[in-house]
Amino acid sequence: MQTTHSVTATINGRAETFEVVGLESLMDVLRNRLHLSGTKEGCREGECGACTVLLDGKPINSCAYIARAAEGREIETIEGLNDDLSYRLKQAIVETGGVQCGYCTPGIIVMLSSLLRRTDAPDEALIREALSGNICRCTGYAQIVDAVLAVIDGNKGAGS
Amino acid sequence: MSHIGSSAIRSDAWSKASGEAIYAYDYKEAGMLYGYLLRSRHAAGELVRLDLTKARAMPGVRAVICAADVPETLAGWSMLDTPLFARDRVRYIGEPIAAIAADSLAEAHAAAEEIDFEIIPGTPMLDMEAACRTDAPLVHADWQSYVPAEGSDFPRHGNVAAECSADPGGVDEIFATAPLVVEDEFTSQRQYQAYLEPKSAVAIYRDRRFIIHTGHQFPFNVRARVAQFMAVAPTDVRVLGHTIGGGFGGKLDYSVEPHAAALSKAAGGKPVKLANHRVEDLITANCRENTIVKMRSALDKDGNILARDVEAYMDNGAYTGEMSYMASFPFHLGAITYRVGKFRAVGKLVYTNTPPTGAMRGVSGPAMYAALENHMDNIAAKLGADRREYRLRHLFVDGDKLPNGQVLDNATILKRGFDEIEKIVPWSERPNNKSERPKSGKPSRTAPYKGSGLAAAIWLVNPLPGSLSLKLEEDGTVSVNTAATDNGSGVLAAGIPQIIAETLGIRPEQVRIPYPDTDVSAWDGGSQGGRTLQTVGLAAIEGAKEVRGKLLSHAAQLLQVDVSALTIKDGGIYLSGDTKRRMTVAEVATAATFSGAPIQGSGGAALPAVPYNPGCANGLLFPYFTSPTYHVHYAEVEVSPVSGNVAVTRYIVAQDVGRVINRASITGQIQGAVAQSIGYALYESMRFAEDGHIIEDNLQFYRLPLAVDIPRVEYIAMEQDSEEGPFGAKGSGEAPVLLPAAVITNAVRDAIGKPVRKIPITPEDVLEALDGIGE
Amino acid sequence: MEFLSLTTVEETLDKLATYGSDAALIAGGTHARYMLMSGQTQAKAILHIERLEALGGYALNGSARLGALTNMRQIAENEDIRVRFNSLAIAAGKCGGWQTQSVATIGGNVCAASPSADLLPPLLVLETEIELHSQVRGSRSLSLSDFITGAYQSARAPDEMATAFHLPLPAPRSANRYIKIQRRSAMERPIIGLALSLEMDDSQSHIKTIRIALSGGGPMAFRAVEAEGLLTGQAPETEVLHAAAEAISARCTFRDDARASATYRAAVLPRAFSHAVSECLAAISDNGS
Repeated sequence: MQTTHSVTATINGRAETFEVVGLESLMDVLRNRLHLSGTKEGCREGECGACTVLLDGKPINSCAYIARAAEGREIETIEGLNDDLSYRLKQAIVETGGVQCGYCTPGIIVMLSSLLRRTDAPDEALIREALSGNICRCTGYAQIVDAVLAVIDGNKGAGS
Repeated sequence: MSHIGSSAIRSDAWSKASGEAIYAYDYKEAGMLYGYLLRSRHAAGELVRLDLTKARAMPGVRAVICAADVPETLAGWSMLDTPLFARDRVRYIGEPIAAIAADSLAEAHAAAEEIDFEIIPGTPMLDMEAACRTDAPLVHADWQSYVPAEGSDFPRHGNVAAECSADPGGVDEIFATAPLVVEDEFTSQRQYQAYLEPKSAVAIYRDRRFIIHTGHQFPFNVRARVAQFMAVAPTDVRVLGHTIGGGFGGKLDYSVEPHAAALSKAAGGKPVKLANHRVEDLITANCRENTIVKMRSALDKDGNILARDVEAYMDNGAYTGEMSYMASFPFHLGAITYRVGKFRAVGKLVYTNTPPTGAMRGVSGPAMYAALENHMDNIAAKLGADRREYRLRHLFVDGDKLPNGQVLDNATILKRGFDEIEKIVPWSERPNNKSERPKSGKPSRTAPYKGSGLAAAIWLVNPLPGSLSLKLEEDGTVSVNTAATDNGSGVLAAGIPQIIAETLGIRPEQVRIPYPDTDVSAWDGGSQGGRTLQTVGLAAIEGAKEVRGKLLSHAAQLLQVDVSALTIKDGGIYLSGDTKRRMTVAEVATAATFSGAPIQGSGGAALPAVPYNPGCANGLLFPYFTSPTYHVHYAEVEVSPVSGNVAVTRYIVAQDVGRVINRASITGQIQGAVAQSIGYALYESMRFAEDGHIIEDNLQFYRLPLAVDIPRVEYIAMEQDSEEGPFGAKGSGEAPVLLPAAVITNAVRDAIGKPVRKIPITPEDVLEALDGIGE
Repeated sequence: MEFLSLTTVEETLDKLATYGSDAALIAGGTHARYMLMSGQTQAKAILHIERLEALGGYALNGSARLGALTNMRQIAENEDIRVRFNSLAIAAGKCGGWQTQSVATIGGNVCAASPSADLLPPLLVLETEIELHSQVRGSRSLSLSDFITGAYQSARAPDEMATAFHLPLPAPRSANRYIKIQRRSAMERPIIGLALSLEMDDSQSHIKTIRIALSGGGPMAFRAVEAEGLLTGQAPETEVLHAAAEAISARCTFRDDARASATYRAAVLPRAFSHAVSECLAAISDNGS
C-alpha cells in the first residue's frame, strides 16, 4: 500500500495543497490532481522534455521528479508563464511557424523562458544546446530557433 | 493573390503554445474508468489457459475481457486477419490478450497481475527470407481462409501476405550477355513514427452505439475498424476528433480504440480511457517496415541500363493492416526516375512474429529510394562516371513512363531541380577530401572526412477523396464541417482557411474548422500522403464558390442590382469598380438566415484516375501515382575519423510544390521531414533480439534527433501551377522524407570511399568500413 | 517508506546514523527516483537533501573545493572550472539535457558509481579527493580511485554522506580534456568516456605527467596506470602513443550492449585516446593551460 501525503507548494504564484501518493512524479500530480494539462506526458523517462516545468526557476523534467519533494517549492508551468518575456516568446514561435502539432511546445516555451531569463543574447549554438533536452518530431527545430532569435532581436530594438 | 503564398498564422498555434489545447491524451470524461491491456511477452506461442476470475474480483475493477467476450470476427484495413485479442495463439510481443477497466490505473495494473494465463512459447519467425521458404512454419496456419477487406483476392501464399510481381520476359538473357552487371543488396530497419503524443482513446458505449474520442488522423477509418471488431454497422460508431500531437502515419489505423470500446460496453457503458505509456506505444507501434532490397542492373558499354531486376522483402509483422498495398512499391520504385530497359520485379510482404507494421510518412519510399540511389552511385563508380552527370544522362523527361505505363507529363521538372541546386552549390565545387583517403586502422587524423550526395525522386499524392461543407455564420465568418484532420502540418489551421478566404473574399482568420465528428462531418480520407491540402483544398474551393454564389445572389436581391455587378472583398460587398462598401457579408448572412435560406455550401473532390497499363504487374493493389511530384535533394556530410559519427552539415531540397499556399507551413514540412529522415538514416535503430523483443524499446535507445543534430534545411519551392490542385498547389508534406537516407548514404560513401548499404548507418558501420572489416 | 526533506547537514547525518543502509539519499533524484521505482534500490527512508545549501559552492584556496550538491549546469557554466578543469566542465555539460543538469549533482553522480558515469573519468584524472562525513566518526577524505570500488559500488559507509570534492590545481603547461563517444550529440550515456590530463615539461617536448581515465571499458571507471607509465617522460610520438593505447585496451573488458558492440568500443578507444592527446597538446601550446 502506498502512502498518501499532503503537500503544499506554490504553483504559478499561488499556494496549492494537494495529495501525493508514494513516489509519484510531479508531472502526474500536475496533470491528474491539479488538472494542469499544459504540461505534457511524452515518455515518463526524462528523455523528451515535453513535461518541462520550472522548479525554483530551474527547468526540470517533471516526470522524473518526486512530487513529494515539491513541498514548499515554487513551480511554474506553462499555464503560469505570462510574463512579458514568455509572452513574446509564445508570440514569436506562433509567428515563425515553430508550432506544428504543438505537443512539445509548452515544454519548449518553459525551457526557452528559463534560458532567456538568464542569458540576454544566446547564439544559435547555445539555443540548440539548451533545447537538446526537448524533442520535437514535427518542425526540425529551425523555426523554433528563429523564434528565439526574433525575441533577442526584439530585445535589442527595444533597447532592453 | 492576397492570401495564397502568405505566412498566415495558424489558428491553433496560440492555444498550443499557451498549453490550453486539449489533446486526446489529455481528454477526460466525468466518471471515466482507466483501462489497461495485458499484452503477450512472447513473440509466438500457444495460449493454453486464460482465467479472468481472480482479476474480475480485484478492488476497483469494473470489467475484464478477452477474446471470449468480444465478437469472433477478424478485422483489418486491407486483409481480414486480425483478432481483437489473441485467441489460441500469440503472434507478437505486445499482442493484447485481455483488457481491464478499473476506477484507477493502479487498480487496473494490480488486476492485470491476477490474470491467470499460460503461453507455451514457440519459436518466433523473424527472418523474412526464411519465412518465404516453402517449408517455413506458418505465422498464420489459417491464411487460406482469410479474405481481403474489400475487392478480390490477390497473390499471397503461406507467410507471403501479399506479392506484387512483374516479368516481361527476356530479362535473364540480357543479364547473361551484358558487358557489365552491377548488383547491390540494401537493408533497412524499422522506423517508429515517434509522435510526441502517445496513442490513446476514450470510449463510451451509449444508446447501443460506440462513441470514441481520439486524436486520430483518419476518423472514418478508425470508425470502420471499431465497427468491424465490434461487429456493428459503421454508423453505430461515432468518432470525435481532438487535437493531435503528431501522427506521421502511425495514427491512420486503429490502436487502442476498439479495446476501449469493448471495455466500455463490458463496464455497463462507463467511459473508459486507454492511454499508451511511451514504452508500450513504441513496442506495439505500426512502424515503417524493415526491408531487404536486392537490385541488379545489366548495362551496355555506354552505361545504359538494359535491364533491371529487383527482389524486395518487406516485413508485414504479425498482422497486415494496410500493408497489402505496400507490396506494389518495389515495382513502382524499382525502375523510376532514370531510364531502364526491361524491368522485372517482385515485392513480397512477409508475415513475421513481430508487431504489425504500417504506414509512416513516405511508406516504402525512403528505403526503396535509398536502395535505388545507392545502386546508381555504385553503377557510376563502376563506370568511372561522374555521379551527377550519369544521373542527368538517364533522367526522365516529359513523356517518360513509370513502370506501370503511366505517362509523366512534367518529368522535366526533375532537371529543373538539379539546375536549382547547381545554382546554390555547383557540383564541381562540392566538398570532398579526395587527397586524404583513410589508411585502414591507423588513427592518423582528426579532421573529418567530407562527402556529398545527390538524389532524385518522383512521388504521388494519396488518391482518397475528401469533402466538406461550409456554413456562413451571421457574423460573416465561416464554419467548416469536415472529417479532414491536421496532425500538425497546418493545413486546416492555415492552408484551407487561406484557400476559402481567397475564394470567398474574407480573411483566413474568419474561417474556423472544428474537430471532426463522424456523425456530422463529411467523409475524408485522412491526413496522409499530402492529400489534405490538394484534395480537401479542391473541395473547399467548390464549397466556397457555392457560398459565394449564394451570398452574391442574396446580396443582389437586397441591393436590387444584377448579381454580375457585385464583388466581395475583405468581408464587404461592393459594386465592381466602386470603393464604397454596400453591405457586409455578415449583414447578408443574417438576412439570408432569417429568411429561411441560410447560406451553406459543400464540396467534394477526388484526384482524377491516371491512365496506366493494367497488365503491367500481378497483384498491383496500388496501381498508379496520382498527381506526381518531382524532387531533388543534396546533402553534405562530415564523418568523424575518431568515432565514425556522421554529421549532416548542409542540406538542400528542390521540390515541385505546384504552388505555395502557406510559406511558413511548407518550410516547416520540409525542415521537419528532412529531420525525421536524418533520424532514419543515422540515429533511429530498431533491432529485434532472438526472442523477438525490441532492443531499442524506449527513448533512451530509440534515438530521436535533437536540436543539436539537425542542420537548417535550405529549399527551393519550384512553383509550376498544377491543374489538379487548389490555386495550382500539390500535396507537399510527405515527399521531403523520401530522399535524405539516399543522399546521406551516398554522401558517406563519398566521404569514406566505402559503401554502406544499410539504414541506419551507425558509427559502428562507418568504423567497420574504414577498418576494412567485412571486405 | 518515510520521505524526509532535510535542511541541515547535522540532521542528515543524524538520519543516516539511524537508518544506515535502509536510507537512500536523494538530491534532484534523476537517477535515484528511477532506482527506487524500479526496485533496484530498496529503502525505508528517503533522505531528500536537495536543499542543503551548505553543500553547494565552488571555492579556491590552494586547491579547488566543490560542494557535493553543486549541480551539473553550475559546473558546466562556471568560467573558472571551464578554464582550469575543462574535462570536468565538458563532462557535466554533456550529462543529459539541461533539465537533468539543473538538478543532478556531482555528489549524486559520483556516489551512484555507474560504470558509465560522465564525471568519473575527469575527476579521476584530476586526482580528486572526496570528503565524507558521518555523525559517529566525523569526516574523512579518500582519493576517488579508492572510493569507486565496483559497478554501482563505492566505499561510502551506509551512515556517510559526501559533502565535498577537492581538486588540486592543475600544473602550468598542462591541460585536461574529456572525450565522449556518443551516438547523438546530446542526451546520451557515453559509449566510451575518456579523460586525459597531460602536463608537458619546460621545453614542451616531453610528457612530464599524464593521467588517463576511462569509463565504458569495464565494470567501473579506472585509471589506465600502465599506459600512464609508458608515456611518462616520453615524447608524444606515434609509436609510444600506439603502445599506450594498446595498454589501455589490454586493461579493458569490452562488452556488447544495446548502446554499442564490444568491437566498436575496441575500435574507437585508440582513436579517442589519440584525439584526446592532440587536444591536450594543442591547448598546452596555445596557452600552457
